[in-house]
Amino acid sequence: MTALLKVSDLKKYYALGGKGLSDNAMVSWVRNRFTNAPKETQMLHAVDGVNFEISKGESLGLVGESGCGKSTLVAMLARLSDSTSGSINFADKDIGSVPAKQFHAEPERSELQIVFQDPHESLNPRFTAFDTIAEPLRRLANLSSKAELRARVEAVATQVDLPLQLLGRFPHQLSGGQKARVNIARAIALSPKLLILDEPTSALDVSVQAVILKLLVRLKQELGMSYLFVSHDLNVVRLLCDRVIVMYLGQIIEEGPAEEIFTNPLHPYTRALISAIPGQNKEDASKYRLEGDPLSPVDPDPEACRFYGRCPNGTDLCTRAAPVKISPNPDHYAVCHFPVLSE
Amino acid sequence: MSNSVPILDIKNLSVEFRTRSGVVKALENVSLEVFRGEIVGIVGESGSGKSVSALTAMGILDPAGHVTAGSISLGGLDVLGASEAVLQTMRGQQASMIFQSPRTALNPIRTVGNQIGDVLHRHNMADRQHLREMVIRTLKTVRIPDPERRFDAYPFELSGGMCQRIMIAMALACSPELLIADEPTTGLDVTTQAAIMDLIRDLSRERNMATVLITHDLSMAADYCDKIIVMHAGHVVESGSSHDLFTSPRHPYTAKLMKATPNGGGSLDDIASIHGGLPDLRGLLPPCRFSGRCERHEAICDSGPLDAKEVSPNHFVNCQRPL
Repeated sequence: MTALLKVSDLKKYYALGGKGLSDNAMVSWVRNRFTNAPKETQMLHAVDGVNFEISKGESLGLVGESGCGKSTLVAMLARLSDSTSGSINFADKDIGSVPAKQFHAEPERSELQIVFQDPHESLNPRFTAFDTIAEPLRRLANLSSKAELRARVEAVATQVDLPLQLLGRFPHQLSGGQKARVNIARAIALSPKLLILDEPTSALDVSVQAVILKLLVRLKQELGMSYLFVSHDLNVVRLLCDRVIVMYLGQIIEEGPAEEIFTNPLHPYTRALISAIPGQNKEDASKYRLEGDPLSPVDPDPEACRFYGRCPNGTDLCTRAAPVKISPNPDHYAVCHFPVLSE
Repeated sequence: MSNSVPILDIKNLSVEFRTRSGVVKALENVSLEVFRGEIVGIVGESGSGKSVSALTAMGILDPAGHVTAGSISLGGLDVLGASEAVLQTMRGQQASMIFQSPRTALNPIRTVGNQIGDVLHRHNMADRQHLREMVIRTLKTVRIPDPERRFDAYPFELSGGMCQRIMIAMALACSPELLIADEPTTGLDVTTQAAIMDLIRDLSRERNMATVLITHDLSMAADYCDKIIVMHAGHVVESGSSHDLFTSPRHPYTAKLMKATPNGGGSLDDIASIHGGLPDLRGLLPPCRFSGRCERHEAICDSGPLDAKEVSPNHFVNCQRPL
C-alpha cells in the first residue's frame, strides 16, 4: 500500500511570555539547531518530532491524554495552523510548506477534511443544515447552478441518512444524532481522501453512538476514504481502527496494529491507559494506575524520558539517556528503555 | 446492608417543570434508597431524570420545578418540608454534591484553599486560627501532593483532575453521610478518571458513607457500584445489585443500553444502537415511557400503571413483559 499521508519529524513549538520569538526567528532558530535563541525564551514543545503514515483506505487511531498534543497535531494536519518544522506529505505533495492561510486555494483542500469535535458547538447556529452542508460545495466545488447545488446537498444528506425534510432546520431544532450527521455530511461533501475525525462521538449518548460509528464505517467503504480517528474512548478506537498511535507529551511513544496495542502493549504508559478503561476486572486494572500529572511540556530535557516520574519501570537510566525505539515486529514499536514484557 | 434505615430514602417522587410550552413531567413515581457504606449508581441517557432526582434530594431544584408527589428523607430530615435555613445546614454537613466540570464549579478568582475554608467556616468546623491547618488536612485526605503549596493555588493553575480533587475535598470537608457525585469524571482523561473514581470509592469505604454516582457510562457503574438504578424518561425502569443487573438484565432498555456500549474486544456488529429518542415529556404519556422504542411492546403494556416487580431478591423491574 502506498502512503496517502506521510508525516516526518513534525514539530510545533510555542514561545512563551512576552519575550517570544517571531515566526521567522523561530524557523531560523530551529534551522540553526536551537543554537541562536535568546537564553530567556522558553519554548513549549506541543508536538515534538512526530513521524507516521496513513495508507489509502486505512483508519489510524490517535490516543493520548489531554495536553499531549493531539489537537495541535490535528490542526497542523488539517492545515489550520503552521508547523515549526518537519514535513506533511499528502498524496506525494508537501502540503506542509503551504502556509495555512493560503491552503484554501490548494486543490488538496477538498481532499483533506475534518469533522470537528462536539456537533452541538461546531455548527453555525444561524446556518440551516442545508447551508452548513452547502458551504464547502459553494466555495470549492465549482458548481454552475443552484439546482446542481441542491442536488449535491441532497445526495450527501442521503449518504449520511439525514432525512431531507430536516435540511431546512437550524441546529437547535435537531437532535444530537442529527447534528452529528450534518457535521459529517459537511466534511464528506467534497468526497475527501482523508477525513480527520476529532472525537466524533464523545458528545453523543451511547444510544446514538453505535449508529454514528456504523455510519462512519459504511462511508469509509463507500467513498474509499482514509481516517485519522482521534478519541478519548479507547473502546471506540479499538472497534474502528486498523492501527493506533499513542502520544505522550508531544511524542509518539507507541505505534502498532490496534488489536496488538490493546492486548499486548509495550510501553508502560500504554498499559496504564488501557487498564484505566472502565468495565474490566478491577483487581487487575488498579495495579497499573498512574500517579501524578505529566511533566511540563516547556523546554523538556532532550536526554530524558518524558514519562519518567510516573512510570513504574523508570530507573536512573531514564533521566540520563533518551529512550530508544524497540520493535518486536516490523509494524509495532515503542520508545522506551524498559518496555513491558509480555506475560 | 448492615443497618436497616437508609440515609437517603426517596419515595414515589414526581417532579414537573412548568414551562411556557407546557408541563414537562420530568420524574414520575421515582423511588430509591441508599444505605450507609453503599455506592449506588444511577445510569441513563441524558434527559432521563438522573440529575433532577439528585438536585431534588439536595433541595436545590430549579424554581421552575415543582414536586407534585412523594417524599424525600435524608438522614431523617424531611427535605421537601424543611425550611431553607435547615437545608443550608444540611448541605455540607449531612449531604454534599460534586458536580461535573470542576473548572466551572470552582470560583476562578479565589484560591482553592479559601474556597474549602468557606465550607468549614460556614459550618463552624474551625476558627480562623486553625482554618488553614484544617484545610490542609482536608487536602491531604484527597491525596493532593504538596497541600501546603496548593492551598494558595487558583483553579486555573491546577489540572482538571486536581480541580476535581479540590471539589471532592470541599464536599467532604464536614464529613457528610451522603455524597452525590453527578458525572464526576466527564471531560477527564481515562487515566485521571480511574484515579478520581478510585479515590471516591476508597473515601466512601473508609468513611462508611452513602454514595450516589450519577453517570451515563454503564461500564464505569459496573466497576464501582454495589447497586444500580437504571432510569429512562423520568422513570426508574430497573434496579438491583450490579452483579444481577449485568449478568441478567430484565428490562428491555437495560439490555439495549448494555448492547449499545462498546466494551473492548468484539466487533462493530456486536453493538446496536437504541431505536428512536426519549419521548416528549410534555402532554399525555403512555404508562410505559419506553413503549415507543421497545420491540416487545404489546397491548398489555398500555393497559395500566406500572408497578415494580421483584423478579429476584432485591432486583426490581418496571415492565409488563420483562425479559
